[in-house]
Amino acid sequence: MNFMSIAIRVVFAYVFLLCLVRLSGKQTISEGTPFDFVIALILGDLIDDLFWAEIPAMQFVVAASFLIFMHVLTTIGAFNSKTFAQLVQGKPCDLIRNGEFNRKTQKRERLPDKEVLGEIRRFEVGDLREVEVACTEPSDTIAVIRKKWAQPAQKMDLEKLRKLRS
Amino acid sequence: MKQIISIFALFVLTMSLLGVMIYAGKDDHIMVPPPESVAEQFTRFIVTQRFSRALPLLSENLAQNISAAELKELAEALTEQLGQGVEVKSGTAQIQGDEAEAGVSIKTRQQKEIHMKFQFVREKGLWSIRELSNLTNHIVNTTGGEHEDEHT
Repeated sequence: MNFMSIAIRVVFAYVFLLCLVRLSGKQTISEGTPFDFVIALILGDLIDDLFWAEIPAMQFVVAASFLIFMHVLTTIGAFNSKTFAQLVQGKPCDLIRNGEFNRKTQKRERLPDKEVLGEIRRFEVGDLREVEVACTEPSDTIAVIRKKWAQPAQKMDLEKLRKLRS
Repeated sequence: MKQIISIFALFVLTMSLLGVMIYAGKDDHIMVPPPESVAEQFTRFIVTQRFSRALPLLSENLAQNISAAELKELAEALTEQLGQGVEVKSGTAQIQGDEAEAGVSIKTRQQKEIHMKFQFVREKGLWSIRELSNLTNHIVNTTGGEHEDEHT
């Protein structure tokens, strides 16, 4: 195996993918949807075939370009159409509303109580009654919104307190 | 729209660059799989019985004269006489202009090591297997009870 050839292929693949990922927008690698994760996985698998010269570089360029091209078309479609966005990315679903579990969503997302409670604890919420809404996001994370009385004090609250005192 | 045009421009630019490297620069092992890599892939496809994937690695001339079914028969005869291959390793290649020769070794379940050589021709910038005589010779030679390339 010629080491210089491997090095040249690695540099080529790196530069090409870097340009491709930059052109595709910021979603591909950062916390995107599960589909973005799949795209990143496929690209990772493709690059390996080129490193070890199992496929011609042209095949790699065609496959990677069209994969990213389709991905960009999908994201543009999702940006312009709400219906299409829901179809390809899913929509936020309530897991907890007003301190109560939404069993229907839990069942559909296959998220047991233990897991949901674990996720909301990451937002320093220890009591379900503090939660106004906890929902799954299209990026497969859970977002938590606390009830007004349970929200941490803000700087503006100090002003309100001062006014009340005076 | 700007994003799509940029990706398309990058695609065209990279393909042109590769085209210049492969066709005008006569690149025969950097951006195209070298003969030893093609020989290894072909043997691996034969050993794992993925004959339809092995066919595109043959030259146009050879591919016209052999089908996936015939390749299967050839592989079965080879397995029957030499044993089931479990490990494939590429050897060295010698390139002379648009022709090349590359070797592979197959380790069988019975711990035999078989060495094979393939003749290559460059077609449309890619290395393709020109003839399978070495593969068929193995079957014929083993039937005759002699084989100079085979080591135990």
